[in-house]
Amino acid sequence: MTDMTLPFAPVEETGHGSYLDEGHTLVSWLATTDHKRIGILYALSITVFFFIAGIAIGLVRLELIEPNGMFLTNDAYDRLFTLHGILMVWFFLVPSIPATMGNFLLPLMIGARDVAFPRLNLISWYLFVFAGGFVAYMLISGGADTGWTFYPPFSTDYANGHVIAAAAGVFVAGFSSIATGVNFITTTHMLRAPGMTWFRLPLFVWAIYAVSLVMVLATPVLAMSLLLIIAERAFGLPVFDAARGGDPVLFQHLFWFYSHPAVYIMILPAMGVVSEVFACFARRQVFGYSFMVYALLAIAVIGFMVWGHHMFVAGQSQLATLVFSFLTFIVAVPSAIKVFNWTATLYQGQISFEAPMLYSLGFLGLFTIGGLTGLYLASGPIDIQVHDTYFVIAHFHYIMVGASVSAFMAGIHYWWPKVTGRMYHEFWAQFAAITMFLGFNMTFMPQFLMGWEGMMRRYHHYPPVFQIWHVFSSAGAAILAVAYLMPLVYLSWSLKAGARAGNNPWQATGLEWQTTSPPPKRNFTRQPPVSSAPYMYHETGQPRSSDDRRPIRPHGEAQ
Amino acid sequence: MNDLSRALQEPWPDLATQRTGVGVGIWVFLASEILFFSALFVIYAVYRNFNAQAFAAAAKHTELLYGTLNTGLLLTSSMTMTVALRAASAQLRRLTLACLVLTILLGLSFLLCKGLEYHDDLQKDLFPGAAFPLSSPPTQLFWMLYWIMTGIHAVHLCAGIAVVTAVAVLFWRQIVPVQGSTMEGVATYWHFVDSVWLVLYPLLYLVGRS
Amino acid sequence: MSDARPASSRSSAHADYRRLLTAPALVWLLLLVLLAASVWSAFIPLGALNPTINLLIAAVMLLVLATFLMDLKNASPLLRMVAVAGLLWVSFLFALTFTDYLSRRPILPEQMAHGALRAPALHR
Repeated sequence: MTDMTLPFAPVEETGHGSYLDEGHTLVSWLATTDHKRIGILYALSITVFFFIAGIAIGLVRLELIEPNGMFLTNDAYDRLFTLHGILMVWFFLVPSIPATMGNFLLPLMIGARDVAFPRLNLISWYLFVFAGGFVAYMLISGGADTGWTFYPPFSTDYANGHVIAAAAGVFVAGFSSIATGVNFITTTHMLRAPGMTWFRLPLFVWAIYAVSLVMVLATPVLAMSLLLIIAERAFGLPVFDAARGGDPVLFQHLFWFYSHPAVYIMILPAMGVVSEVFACFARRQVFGYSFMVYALLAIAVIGFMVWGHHMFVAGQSQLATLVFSFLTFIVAVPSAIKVFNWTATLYQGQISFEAPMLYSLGFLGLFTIGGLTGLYLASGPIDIQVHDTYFVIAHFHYIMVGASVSAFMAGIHYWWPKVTGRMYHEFWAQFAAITMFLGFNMTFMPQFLMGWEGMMRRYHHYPPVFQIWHVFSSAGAAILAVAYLMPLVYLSWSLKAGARAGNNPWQATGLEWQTTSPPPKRNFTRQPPVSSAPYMYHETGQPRSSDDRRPIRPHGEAQ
Repeated sequence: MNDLSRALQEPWPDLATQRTGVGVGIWVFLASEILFFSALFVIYAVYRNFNAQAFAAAAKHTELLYGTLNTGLLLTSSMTMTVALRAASAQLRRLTLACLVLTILLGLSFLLCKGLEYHDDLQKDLFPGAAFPLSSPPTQLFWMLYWIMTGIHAVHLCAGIAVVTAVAVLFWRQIVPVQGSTMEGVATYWHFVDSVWLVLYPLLYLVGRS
Repeated sequence: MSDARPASSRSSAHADYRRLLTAPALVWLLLLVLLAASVWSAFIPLGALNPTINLLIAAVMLLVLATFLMDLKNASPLLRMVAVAGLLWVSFLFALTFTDYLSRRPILPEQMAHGALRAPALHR
């Protein structure tokens, strides 16, 4: 055996404060360049947007209980689902794991003191908030009604809402994304601790790296396409105007060139989180680590080549449809490899069911359902049948909510002790996780069925035959809402009254667990030594010894 | 006191790594900028593919003299920027500053010429709309691309001039030493803005001339 | 920083300056020559070759600029890979977008007239 340091090296007590003690004023937070504080700033911001978007869709689900609508005009309905889509995609999901957990954990996991460009990091948050300002303006003045997809000629010529404000907000948020991506790519290349070679990186780091590639390369095309919508709407320039020779479908090509990779922005970090959680709570090395890495990169790259599957009925050529359909089937393969490898990671593990594990298990099942239904949609003939129906809505919510949000919650709970130095209340967390899983399925499983039967999306008047499904779905949404509110309560409570966490309450591998909870401002008191592969929960090739019954101690003392 | 100690920033372990890191960061950003402009290039390519004659007819009305002069100005500014970078690496502060000032002046001259050219274009009503002089509708597509492509390029050039000015001030006041990592990033960005123009120029000024 | 230097170092400063200026100046001249060639060729009626030549010359100018002025030839492999990656992704955008546009079949007036574009009758 080559020489290895202990994976759980103890950290000497330093007597210095944590990053939370470095200044208690508002200015110390708003002018910080500490990646950990910036991660928290992002977390607070995205939570606000999440709940606004949640209220918007709550009103939508309420409206949909009756086939002829209850209290919303057509226009108001359009503006509500547009608000929900814009906020959830760009102001919650895209930044969620990367800007919060990526920011907090990337330097810790690679043994660095901060990200490569700390001031750029702070600027990226201010860009995000500034973008939120545009959206707040749009919200207060009545909203946009184009759907989150901004298709012309409706968005350019006919829409009555505040399209320019909405597009401008997304444009600025895009640059926040790009800045984050540039920072993370440079950090990963340049600031790894000595001994931290690429194939010793935790899969979360690989996932953040892959997502950064996507953010940097895809977002600019969205930025340009929205700029052009603004140019056409504000200045009458004939960009996508068919009357003057333009092509509205060209907008769709540019829009989806970003927006398909965007969904991989939303899922790749989630995959990174659950890899960490599965390994820890099954006490197992991740099965097939290198294939997991290649799969992340393959998804990131091939994900750029499938965007036309959103346009099968838009008027693109049949050849394009065939090509994009074929490539879409291909991009499912690396995802499937990951699902198999996570399953194999769990096999023969010593599984314990703390909240992070519950959320991750939920991720595994819901991602599989979402992914399989994605294969249905990759098929041209099926897509032509179910395009613009609730089948599509259910598919992407299984991925974006069922998978991504579950993983987000898993990560929040897993790293909560590290970030705050406190343990959350395990029972309520498990209760919330299970409630969320049940509420989610109750909301979205009926949508597959009604979509298949022809219930169209973005309509609030529908044939009465679908009412039973809508009622069921709305009831599920109510349960889901409760499940989302619960963490707000018990997590806030834990800040004051939770048990204090030691450095490594989960007895996990990874450099972030080898410093204090919460970490000091510059992360480590001395450069952490790295000379072993990640996830050394047991010797390679052998299950964890049955003598080694070291339990995970969720209420762990300082070690 | 070693000048260079002021150049090292958190969290870099040493100046050499910082230099490389800044280079990586700038180039990754440039990759995103390449895609930003390429969205416009794709639109140009698609529309020209289907409207070749209209594009040729429309492009005749661009001002070749202004365009070519501007290309020359930018190429010269890239040269002065390169000399500035080399001077900075050789720790020749005055030469660096002189070249940066020249670069700024050349950039401003470009903007001046562009402004005069825009004025001429507007005099001829070459902005797509009711008063547009050319009859075939797809000619408006060409001119839409002209305004948007040159406009966004000009915005990038303004940003470049602003950054170069700020950096020149920092060097002049000796707040930042010239041999730090700043010059490389600035120079790379400047060359990129020049490169974009080198692609725009044949697409907008050399179409339909024969 | 004082400019008072001994005479010997001033002449070596001149040598410094010449060393610093020569290569960029030569590259600049080359770029201007290429620019002139591009403009000149635009006035020769070559049909479809005109845009090709212009873009080819532009590509050469970009390569010269990138290699000599942006110093990509001395840069680490990582930087060169980043530059290539940007261009590679642009090729995805172009290739797949044109897969659509080059394979679209135009709708001819005759097709509209004869009702060939009516939706097929649904069989239930």
